[in-house]
This record gives sequence, structure tokens and C-alpha cells, in this order.
Amino acid sequence: MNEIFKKWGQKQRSLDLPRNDELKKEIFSRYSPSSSPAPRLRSRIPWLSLALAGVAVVVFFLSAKPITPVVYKDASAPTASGGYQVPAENSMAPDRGDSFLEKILPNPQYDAPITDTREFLKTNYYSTIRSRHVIEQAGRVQTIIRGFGGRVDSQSSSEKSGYISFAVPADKFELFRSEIKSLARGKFYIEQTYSENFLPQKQSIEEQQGQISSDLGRLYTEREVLQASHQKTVANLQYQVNTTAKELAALRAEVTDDPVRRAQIDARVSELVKQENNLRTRLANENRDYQNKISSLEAQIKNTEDDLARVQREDQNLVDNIATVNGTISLNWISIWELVDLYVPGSPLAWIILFAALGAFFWRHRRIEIPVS
Amino acid sequence: MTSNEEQLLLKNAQGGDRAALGMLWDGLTPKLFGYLVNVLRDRNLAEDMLQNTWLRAIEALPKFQQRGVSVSAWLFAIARNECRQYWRKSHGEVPFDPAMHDRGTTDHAQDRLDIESVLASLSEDDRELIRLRYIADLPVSDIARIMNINFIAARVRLHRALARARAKII
Repeated sequence: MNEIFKKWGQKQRSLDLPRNDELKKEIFSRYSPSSSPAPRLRSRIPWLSLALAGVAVVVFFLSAKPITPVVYKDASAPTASGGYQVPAENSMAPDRGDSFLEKILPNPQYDAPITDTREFLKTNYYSTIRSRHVIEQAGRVQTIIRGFGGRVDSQSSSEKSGYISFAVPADKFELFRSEIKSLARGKFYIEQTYSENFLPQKQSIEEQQGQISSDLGRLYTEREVLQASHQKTVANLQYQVNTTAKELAALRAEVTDDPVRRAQIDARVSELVKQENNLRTRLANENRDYQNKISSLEAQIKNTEDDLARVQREDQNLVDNIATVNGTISLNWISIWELVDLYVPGSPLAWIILFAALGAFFWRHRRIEIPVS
Repeated sequence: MTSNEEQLLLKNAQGGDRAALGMLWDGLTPKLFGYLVNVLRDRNLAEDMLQNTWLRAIEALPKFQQRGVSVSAWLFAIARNECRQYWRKSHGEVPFDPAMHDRGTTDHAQDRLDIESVLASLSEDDRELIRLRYIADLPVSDIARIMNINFIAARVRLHRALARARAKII
């Protein structure tokens, strides 16, 4: 079939055109070529597309963020300056410093033995929400905090950024977190929770409690011994005083004309008076010593009891603290460019240039209509 | 004449080389005239259309940029447009009648009549595809450009037109 049409076509092309030369001459006579040089033939290589694509690749690699490992400082909580990006440098969050948890309780510098498997987990929560409506989101966050029985400790908000510091009950924390999460899509929400076992603190408190209780018991015993000893001594001295007084009274009541007897009585009375004075002095000294000692012991007991009460308060604080989740939520305004950056892998600028390269390529290779007039 | 030769001649013609223009004329006019005779079925009318086509081409020649379009395709597109304008002015195409067709002088008049009869039974689009492919001797890519369709569509339509022609002959 193809051959038949080829032959037919050749025959059609060989039709005689009697006025060929005449037509040719007539048409050529009207031809007046322009003085300008012939249009330059276009290069077959799409240089613009290649150049733009090259620039896109360069921009892509230049804007690629280096992967840096997340480093936490020892066992302390991640901080604003540490491995976690929250709160960002442009946020309104105050610097909490490195001793955030240390301010809550003294952190004993020893590890708890593995035989003690109790857990006293303290949770801290940090999150960043990126939004186009920062002030509205800040209001919603505060409503949620209060709705879960929490407390707003500090807050600030503006068109561009916001910061809320809060505390919520630990038993409602998971629900609270999911509610906060629902405020923004995944890419606009970054969170980090940090839990630390306060067992060392608890053990320290328990150790202090044991030591103070032991000291207190010893002081109570000392006081009882002192009181008993004092009572015994006082009773003995009082007995001697009474005996002496009794003898003195008997001697003074005795009536005699015998000068020898009178001399004996006088001598004995004098001796007894001296003895009575001596006994009373000893009694007074005993009472004074007792008062001094008992006062000292009472003071020690009071101090020790105060220490015990303080440690018990610390224990209660620890329990309360564990039952509370503290956290911060940073709100950052997000620009359209950053929105694109979140969803597009690599640099948006690189993508724009790449699309420009594609556009240039397709424009160059667009279907060209033949100019017929 | 190959496409590269056409390009070279055109470039020289645009630079004022009349000899190059003459070579283009000699290479392309037989195809163009055969095409026009087959389309218009009238030698005199075909000559007029040939003249008009070349005049338009000559006028546009200094500004013509190839940009992937061959000189042949350009000329045949002008010729096709001229025919359309003629038909528009004369209120429609004259129905194809092989008996009325100017058969020229050939020793195989009977064979040609058979082909013309087959073509007459095809649609105008099919006839146009076959003319451009076998009289104008254009590649499918140029045919696609002239008919303003994409390359695949042109190839498929040509294939189908030939299949229909084969069916008519059998």
C-alpha cells in the first residue's frame, strides 16, 4: 500500500508546469531581501533551562541544613540553650537557666542503688506552635490550661510571638497534651516532654527524716534521764534539809539548865545551821544546773523537731511537685514562605528556580504554529 | 533535498542569494504544484495558488525563523491556507470527481484513476494526510505541525487512513 502511494505521489510531483520559468521570474522579481542579516539560528541546547537548573541545584545544596546531633547536658532537663529548639531565640520566653529542676529541690550528687525500684517521675513539657494567628492561639491555650484544672504562671503574646508558662495536674496531663496538639497540624507543632525520677531526692529526704528522728529520740531520752536524776537529787537533798531542820527544831526546843548540855546544844545547832545552809546551797545549785541543762535540751529538741517538720514539708513538696506537670508553650508566627518551606523538601527558592527552568524548557519546546501569513 | 540542505539554502536566500532561492524553487515547486493540482483539481487554479503561495513566502522570507519548522512544512502550510481562503471566498469545496479531475499526461491513467477513486471515498482529512505524506513527501512531524495536531495523532490518523484506503482497494 505504501509503495502504491509512493509511486502515486512521485507521479503527482512530476506534473508538468508549463509556465514554470515565467512564474519563477515573476516571483523572483518581487523578491527584495532585507539588508539586515538573516535571523540567527537558535542553538539546539536549551542554555537558559540548563543554567536555571544548575542554579537550582546550587541553591538546593547551599540551603541544605547540616545535620547536627542533639546534645543534652548531663542528666539535667533540656534547656532553651540546649539540644531542644524550644523556646526559639525570637520567642518571648524568659531564660529558665540550667538549674530549672535544681531550684525545685536539692539534687543529691549520688546515684540511687538499683535495689530501690521506686519511681517518683517529675514531667516537664515544652512545645512550640507555629500559627498565623498567635494571639488567638494564646487565648485558646490558656483556656485549655484552666479547663484542665491547671494554672497559668506567666504569659505574654503579640502578633508575632507568644509564651505561656503553666502547671497542670499530672493525672490530666495526657488529655491536656492531646488537646494542645489538636490546635495545630503536625508540621506546625513541636513538643518535647522530659521526665526525671526524683528517687535520689526522695531517698535523701528519707535519710534526713531517719537521722532527725533518731536524734530526736536520743534527746527525749536524755531529757527523761536528766529529769529523773534531778528529781532524785532534789529529793535526797530535800530529805537531808528536812532532817537537819527537824533536828534543829528539836534542839532549839530543848530546855536545859545544864551549862554543858547547853554548850553541846549550841555547838550542834551551829553545826546543823551550817549543814542546812550547805544543803540549801547544793539544792539551789542543783536546780540551777538542771534548768540550764533542761533548757539546752529543750532547745535542741525544738530545733530537731523543726528540722523534722522542714523535711516533712520537703517530702510533701516533692509529692506535690511530682503530681504537677510544669511546662511552657511558645507560639511563633509563621510566614507564607515558612509554610512553603515546611511542606516542600529542600529550599523553596531552589524549587522556584527549578520550575522556572522547566517553564523555560517547555516554552522553548512549545508547539510552534507555522506562520502562514 | 534534505532538511539540512533546505535550511542552508533558506539561510543563503535570506541573505540575498537568488541562486539559493532558485534552488529552493526547483526543489519544492514540483511537490507544491502536484499537491495543489490534487487538492484543487484544476491546473490553472493550481498555478494561481502556487504563485500566491510563493509570493506570500517571498514576502515573509526575511522574517522567517525556522525554530524547528522546515521550509517545506512552511510552504505547504501557506499553500493549504491559500486553498482555504479560496474555498471560503468561493463558498465551499468542489466535490471530488475523478472523471472531472485533470489527470495530466501519464501512461498509467487507469492506475491513477483507481487511486483517485480510492481517495474520493475517503474523508477530506484522510486525503489531506495522504497528499502531504506522499505528494509533498513530508515527515509525519511536519504533517502534524501543518495540521496542527500532535505527532502521535498524526501518525495514528495516517495509519488509519492508509488502512481505510487498503480496504477500499481490496
